[in-house]
Amino acid sequence: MENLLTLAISAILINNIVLSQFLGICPFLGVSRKKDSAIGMGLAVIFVIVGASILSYLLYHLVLDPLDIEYMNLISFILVIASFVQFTEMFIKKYSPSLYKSLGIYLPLITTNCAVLYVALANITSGYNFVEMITYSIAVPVGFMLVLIIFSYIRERLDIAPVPKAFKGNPVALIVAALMAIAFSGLAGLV
Amino acid sequence: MMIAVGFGLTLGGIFAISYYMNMKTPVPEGCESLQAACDGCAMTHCHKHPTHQQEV
Repeated sequence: MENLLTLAISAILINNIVLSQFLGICPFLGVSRKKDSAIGMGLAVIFVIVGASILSYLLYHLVLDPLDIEYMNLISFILVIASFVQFTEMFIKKYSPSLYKSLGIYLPLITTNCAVLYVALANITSGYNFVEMITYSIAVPVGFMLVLIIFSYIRERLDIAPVPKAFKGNPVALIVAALMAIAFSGLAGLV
Repeated sequence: MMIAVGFGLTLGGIFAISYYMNMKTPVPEGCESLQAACDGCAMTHCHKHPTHQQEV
């Protein structure tokens, strides 16, 4: 249990997917202007990463490993993630229009999020068992969502702040992201 | 080798079928013109990129 807690805290704070690993920067910068869209994107990323990680993990251990085609993991995981997102979007369109209205628009954007593929691959390369895989797959997108929401609050303030014209928009956002990364690096050694 | 190729083609086929089925699934009422609150990243080919929205 302690090991799982350490794994979760490490994935959320210390080895944060955005600020420490520098993955998922595109949606981090693109969908962090407003906190509503940040929350929606964060929830959608959590769902996709958990689902895709489970499918990838099972695919690797039940198909790729027994057939000695482990080298197919990269292509297989990409196709599994893309197919999963398609099925998810289809399911939400049919059975939950309200959910589609709030989260559905982000699903195609998440397909190309490198953080999804990273988590699927890391679960294999790190040799996690099923419980550790679930813990890691939940913790990483929770860390992503946490940073995204914090960043959205800062960006909403930046929009009304007297930022020099040359720095308005993405330049000052990147500076803020760098400062956040420095702040989060101070958490190293916490666990 | 053939197993790997066959497996890859199978997964590709599953993706193609899922994409086609998703395309054919009607969008719920009221969701026809949803826009992601996206500022646009480096992926300018994405149809949700603001530059494409401006062209429309």
